[in-house]
Amino acid sequence: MSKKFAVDLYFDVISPYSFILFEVSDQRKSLVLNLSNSQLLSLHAYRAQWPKMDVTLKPVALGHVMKAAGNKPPALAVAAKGPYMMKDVQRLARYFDLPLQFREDFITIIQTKSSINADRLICAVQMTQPEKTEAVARAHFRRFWCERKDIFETADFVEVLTSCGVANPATLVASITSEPVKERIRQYTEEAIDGGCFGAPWTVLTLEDGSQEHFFGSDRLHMIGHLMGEKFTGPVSCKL
Amino acid sequence: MSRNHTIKLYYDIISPYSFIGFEALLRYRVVWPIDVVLKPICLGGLFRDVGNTPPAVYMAKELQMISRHFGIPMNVPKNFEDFVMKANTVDACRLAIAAQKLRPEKAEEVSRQLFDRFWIDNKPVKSEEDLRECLKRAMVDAPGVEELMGLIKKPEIKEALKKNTKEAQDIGAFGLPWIEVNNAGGGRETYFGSDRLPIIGEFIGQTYHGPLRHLSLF
Repeated sequence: MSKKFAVDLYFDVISPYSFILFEVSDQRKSLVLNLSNSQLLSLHAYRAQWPKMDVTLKPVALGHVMKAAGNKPPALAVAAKGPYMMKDVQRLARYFDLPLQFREDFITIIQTKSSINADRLICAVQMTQPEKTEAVARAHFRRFWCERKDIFETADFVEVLTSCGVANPATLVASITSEPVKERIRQYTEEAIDGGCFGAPWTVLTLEDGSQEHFFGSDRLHMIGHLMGEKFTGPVSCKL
Repeated sequence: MSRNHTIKLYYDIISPYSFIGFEALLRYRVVWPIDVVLKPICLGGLFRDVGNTPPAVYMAKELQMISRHFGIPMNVPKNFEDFVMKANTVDACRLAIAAQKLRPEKAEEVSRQLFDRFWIDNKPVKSEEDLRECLKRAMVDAPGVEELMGLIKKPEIKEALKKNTKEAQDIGAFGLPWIEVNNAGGGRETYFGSDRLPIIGEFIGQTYHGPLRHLSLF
């Protein structure tokens, strides 16, 4: 019986580097089913290539994480980081064939709005229709980062859930502010902070001996793979 | 006829990821048509001028792993934060610049020995003895050692370090390593960190072949 490595991915949908690390199950499925063609590199893409990897999605309240760690969003912390981050993210997205585009009002959004409800909604789905978790997370990411639409209001959430074929969208959206859902994201957030998290994405790999390795950012997949005894080969093309 | 691509590496001895970027990039001269221009800067000055601070202690554990990945026997001291906070690498960076002026064929090795002493031996690169030891290990000739030790006290070298630091800031740097690539086609990109080599490769039309550990000088 083959050993599995537990990989916990702590993320917030407002985090662009989280989207880059997370990415595409459509494409992952196409890897397995040999359907369409795309360049891709992502944790999910690599899930198909690395069968030992068992990924659990753990949305966190990134603002809370940063406050606990005494950190700030890069764009707000240091003036020079904002323009660089936008360039770096777009460049990475192109490299990985992700149609990501920053909204012009991104800096305003991170100062005036919160993605907490979007992240809570992913938790709510995970708790009731777990098989839809990945699709709903992806739909949120794509909506904000590719379609450049809002992910803050009830109407936004109903659209996301409907597009994923999730049952009872209205009920799920209503459950966002319920105690169990809030507790779930609180638990993930505290867990991340206890493990040393100061930003997103944050990946925790549990090895065979039970020890854990922690990784910040979207650029450590090769190390994560290496520790699982897998090979990381860069963007994967499944052009036929 | 194809030209080489020019890559400028801005670094400070005190920056561990700079050490990784330094070794990784210089190795790639073997497989990529690149010219690497070394640009020592004063990280403390850069941080102050852009309003940034050193990153989290998380680095310490990760550095052990990343450095091994690149075949660099970096030793991360147990009192990492203390070690870095108490260090002063300004004269070390001045020495790196002085070497570029006076012994250019030795400049790279001088920087390497400074990095090695600090990040492998975990010894300071602050006093005159510290710096002389690095020059000796870089096999700089005896007269050269004396000239270099005299040169680092001169205003021209102090100004050169300040100039490099300002240059880094002007091109958007907020931390190190900072890499500027001018590709042979006239394109220009800047990158932060030692983990963008695959992206840099793509920008210059080359393939990233991993850390090239077999080319490690350790």
